[in-house]
Amino acid sequence: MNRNLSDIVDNQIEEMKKVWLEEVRKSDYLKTYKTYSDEDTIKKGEAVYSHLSEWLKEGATNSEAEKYFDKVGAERFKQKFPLTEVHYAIYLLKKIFWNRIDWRDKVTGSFETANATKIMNVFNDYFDLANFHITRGYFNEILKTFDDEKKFSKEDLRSLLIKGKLNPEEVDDDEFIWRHV
Amino acid sequence: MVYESLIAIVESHLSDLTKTWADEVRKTTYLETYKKLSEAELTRRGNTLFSNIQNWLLKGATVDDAETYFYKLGTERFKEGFSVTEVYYALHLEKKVLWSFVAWKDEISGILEANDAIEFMAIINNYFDLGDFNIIRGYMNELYSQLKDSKKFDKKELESIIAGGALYQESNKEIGEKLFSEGLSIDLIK
Repeated sequence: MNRNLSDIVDNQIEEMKKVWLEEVRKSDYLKTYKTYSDEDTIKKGEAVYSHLSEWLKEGATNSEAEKYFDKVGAERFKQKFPLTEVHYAIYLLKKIFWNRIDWRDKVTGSFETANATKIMNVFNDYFDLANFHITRGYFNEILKTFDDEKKFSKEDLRSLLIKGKLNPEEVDDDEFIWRHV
Repeated sequence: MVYESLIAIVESHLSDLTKTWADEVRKTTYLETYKKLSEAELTRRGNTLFSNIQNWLLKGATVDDAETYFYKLGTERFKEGFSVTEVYYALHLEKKVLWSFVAWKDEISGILEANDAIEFMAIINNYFDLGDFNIIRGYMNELYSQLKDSKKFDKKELESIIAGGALYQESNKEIGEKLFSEGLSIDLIK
């Protein structure tokens, strides 16, 4: 079953990464992502799907994805991404994934709800896992940064944590969360 | 139809959902800060979590109330000394518990059509994605407020504000196992 699921992901990656790039370019919220080239942006999205495929091939139990997302969290902190922006990117990648999957034909042949609920659960776990480890990697990197006070001033912290993204007045509800991909 | 069914499941199983969530919290070694709460307080918080999703559904799944609720939750948990990963994991557990009840209900009654199952999952995911995002917003905002008000940002001070222990549990494999859906599969919860 897991092999079959990873094939579904592999078969969709090319399309999904294109949609991902379009979504990033359209989004008002993903300001930091938009400072990266198309190529870099695609790589970021593609890596999430590639790791999903590998994770499934290994029976959804390997720790490579865990290590990868810890690293992503740390890197995004160093790259000055607000944590909420990274979470929103994962949310978008998940939405794109769900919308690309034709559950009835490709997962079970004849769609069976019992299988579908279990399969959906496995996929959801992956994205939850991603968010959890990104958050952990991100916060651990904050702490590491504070080892060297010269590298991190009060203004740096202000710039990182606020950046408009954490201010409730500056979050566009229409664009955020309920705008389905 | 899906909304009504989901409301009915939460409504009729509110105490079971709360109890299952509280049991899961107590079973995990990861949620150390939650485990310091009294039984009554843990149950109260669990009840609030599930009641809130019920209210959200009853009001037509609008953003505002849930957003405010989760933002406040993130702020409060920060003030209480929870690590953000611990709060995130507790929310993940809530989603797993809720989904396990939906799947279980379907197994005994066959209520779910294929499209319903997808819609159920989409609604539940939307709610928890909203929660995840706004908890982090609230948490990070409170972090900033506290750091802003302080005079120095040395490591010790920062750790006392944001770490809460759980960030350092690199060797704690339980969280990984559970998120890999081994220890907390639908069948196990049920």
